[in-house]
Order: sequence, then structure tokens, then C-alpha cells
Amino acid sequence: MRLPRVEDFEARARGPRLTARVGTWLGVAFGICFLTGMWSHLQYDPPSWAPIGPRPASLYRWTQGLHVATGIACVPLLLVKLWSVFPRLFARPPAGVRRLALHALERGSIAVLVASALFQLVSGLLNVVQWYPWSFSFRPAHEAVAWIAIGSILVHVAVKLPVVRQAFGPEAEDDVVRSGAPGRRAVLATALGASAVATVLTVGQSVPWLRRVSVLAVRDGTGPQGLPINRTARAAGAVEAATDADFRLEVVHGDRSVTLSRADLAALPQRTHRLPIACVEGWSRSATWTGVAVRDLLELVGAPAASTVRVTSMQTRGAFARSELPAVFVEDHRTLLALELEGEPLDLDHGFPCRIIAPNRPGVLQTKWVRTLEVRA
Amino acid sequence: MRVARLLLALPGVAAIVWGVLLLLDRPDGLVSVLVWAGGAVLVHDLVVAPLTVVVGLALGRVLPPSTRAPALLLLAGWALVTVAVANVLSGQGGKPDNPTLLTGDYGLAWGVATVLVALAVGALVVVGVRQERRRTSAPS
Repeated sequence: MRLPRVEDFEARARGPRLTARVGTWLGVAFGICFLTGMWSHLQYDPPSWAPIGPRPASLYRWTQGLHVATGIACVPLLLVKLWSVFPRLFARPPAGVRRLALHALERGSIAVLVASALFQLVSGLLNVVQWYPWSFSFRPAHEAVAWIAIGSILVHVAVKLPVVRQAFGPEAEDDVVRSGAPGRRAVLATALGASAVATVLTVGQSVPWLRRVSVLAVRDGTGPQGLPINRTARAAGAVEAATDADFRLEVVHGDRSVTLSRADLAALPQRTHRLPIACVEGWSRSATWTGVAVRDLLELVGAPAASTVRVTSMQTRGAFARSELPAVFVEDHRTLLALELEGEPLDLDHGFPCRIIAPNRPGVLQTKWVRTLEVRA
Repeated sequence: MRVARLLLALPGVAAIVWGVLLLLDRPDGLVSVLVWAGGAVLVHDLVVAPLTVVVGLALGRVLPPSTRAPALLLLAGWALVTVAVANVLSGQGGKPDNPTLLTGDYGLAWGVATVLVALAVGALVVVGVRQERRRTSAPS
């Protein structure tokens, strides 16, 4: 028994021409995944310079649907790419100190690349089904390793650029064709085909007209009042406070404040808008919401429509019991404190007695079971 | 070429450094991140890749040569899609109080797809074996 050598591997399809092509597709998918992911991180805590507002209303929905779809598409591509270079793992280190150092550096950078890419795909796929068999906090870890992954990809392309250019150049004489071994183009087509199939089978959670085709989607878009739930009232520890008949919403602006019962809220002028709700986990769904525009509530306490509002929930568990609604959203009359969904009072799991719904916002910031609205500035 | 490589490598290194700084910023989960990232590489390099080679070689021996390539590719495609949807097939995740998550009958859907792939591979094997027979029994 001895360790295999590079030349022991005999797949006809393997070689720089396949690796470069699969790598290009993978790079594009990973790039889209990175950009859409960073876009979401920006949305969670928008800096003043970011051009993030209520228009277009479906932007977050599109970016996060793309994020999860491209992430899933990456899985077959990454596996085929690793398969195409697997023999390189058995390359013997060269002689000479300088060469050895360069070799070690390149192997090290590839180890970082593979580790970070696999980490992103595994953690993302498990987050989508809300399975957390680890002790790190998903969002910050997924963000940090994303930077390491995209950085390693750039370094990797820089190192391999001469090989890539040659691989896309004119073809040298074809290898001897051994009967029955799949060729390069067929393997590439299989990788792309598997990516496409996996995407189509799962993307229905974001693309309504594919819902019936996507038999492996995490969500089929159903739920109370035709809308999926991310966190139930019970899981958020909001049941008791939210179902209390003495519930009062408090709107605060400096030393002025009003308290409103749900009946008071229902007596105010109602607005109805069709808005998407979109989760970072990829699912999204449009629905018809009815309630009071947040800017109309601010008027009751003499606050300008373009104010930043801090929203506090009655939930006692979960990381998003508070959210900040930037002025640019509050100004928009489609930003509602919703009382109804599809013409019925909100289901308890959708935020009864009242919840925030705004255009182009991450789902976790569409705060449910709202207790107070506090004008910040 | 040299300029292009520098323009790729420099922001690349900067992004890696930034990512490492973000990781160090939250040291509580650092060990867990390293275990999962390193573990993923080990699982791939020591289990998934060698298994692929062994299964590929074994199938190469048993599948008839004339239809070997399409049969191998069909099985490879099936395996790739299976890994990409392993999260819903795992039976893990979800929340007992949330019926809107993990709504599908994933085992059934995957099972039907697997049976179809198996039938297609079986058909390819039958066709291949017949072609072999014809070739060997034909008077030369």
C-alpha cells in the first residue's frame, strides 16, 4: 500500500479546462451570493450612506431569494470543482527552500479557500431549515467567513490566472479517448444540470409560480392566512401579553405620548397595501395588509413624518424584540402598523394585536406584537 | 497579466484580513467556527472524495462500456442534487410549533426521483449489455 500519485488518477475529464470552466460558474454564483448576503447585512443596520429605502418594495425579496438560490446552486459546482482537482492533493512538494515555501503558501491558501467555501454552504443550508448543531452565532460567523471566502477566491484567481487563460485558449490535441469514460463537456454539463435541478426543486419558496415544481423547498408558502411563520408567538414568548384584553399601544415623542387600544387603532383611518414579506432564509410572499400608517400615528404626538422610530415588541425571547425604523421608511405611507392580513384580524403568530409591515425590509425587522413606538429623532 | 494578478490579490488579501478581524471580534464562537470549517475539509478530503473515486472505479468495472458514460453521469448528477438538498432530507431542523417550516414530504419526493434515476440507469445497463452481446456474437 502506498499513497497515490497525481498520475494514478485516470479520469479523462479532469484537467485545467474543466476546472477553469466549473470554477468560472462557481465564481459567478459565489459572487452573487456574497453581494446579496452583504446587502442583507447592510439592511439589518443601515449606515447613513447606504441608499436603502422603501423603493423598490420587492428589492429585499429579490436579493435574498437570489442569495439562497445561488447558494444552493454552488453545492454541485463546488463538489465537481473539488473532484476535478482532487489528484492535486497528492502532488509531492518540490525541492528547494524557495519553491517549497511558495508551494506551502499556495496549499495553505487553497485550504483556507476550501474550508471557508464549505463552511458557508453548510452553515447556510442548515440555517435555512433552522438547524443549529454548533455553538457559534450564525449571522456574525456567516458574515465573517464570507469575507474570508470571497478574499480567498480573489487570491486563488490571481494565483491561477495564467492557467485559467491557457485553459480558455485554443485546445491542444485531445487526449487519447478511453472508451466509456465521460468526457470533459459531459461532466461540465452534468455539474451545471445538477445545479439547475437543485435550484428549481427548491426555489419555489421565493418564486410563486414554481411552488408546485419545488417539491424540496423548505416552505411551500402556506400558513395561517396564507403566509408562512418564521417564529411563533409561543416561541417568542409573546402569547400572554399579546392576548391580554387590556393591551394598549403606546406612541411616545419626547414628553408627549398617547395610548391606544386595538379598538382605538381600528377606529383611525385605515390603509390597505399589498406588500411582500421576505426572510433572509430565502422565502418570501406577497400579502394584503390593512392598518394605520406609522406616519399617521406620529401625527397624534406631533412628530414629523420623517422621524426615526424605535419599535418595541411584547416578545420576551429572540434577538429582534426591538427594531429601528429609519425615517425614510416612516415617511412612506405604505409603512403600516398592520391590524389585518387578507381582510382578517392578524393571526397571533403573525403579530396580533398589531405588527409593523414596511416595503423592502428584512422579515426580522417587521416587528410583531408591537407594544411601543418611540420617536428617536 | 502582472497588474491584473495584483489587482485581484490585494483586495483578496484585504478581504481575508477583514474576515479574520470580524471573527476575532466575537471570540466566543471562534473555536466552533474553526471546528466546522476544518471538519468540512476533512470530511470531504478523507471521506467524500475517496469514496467518489472508489465508487467510480467499481462502477467502471461493472457497467457495460458502451453506455458507461451516461450511466455514470446520471448517478453523479443524482448524488450532486442529493447533497444540495441534504438539509431537508436530514429530518433535522424545523420547530415543533411551526407547521409552516419544512412543509414538504421530502422523503417521498426524493424517493420517487431516486427510483426514476435507478430505472434509467437500469435501462442503460440493459442496452449496453445487449450491444456487447451483439458485438461478441457477430461473425468477424
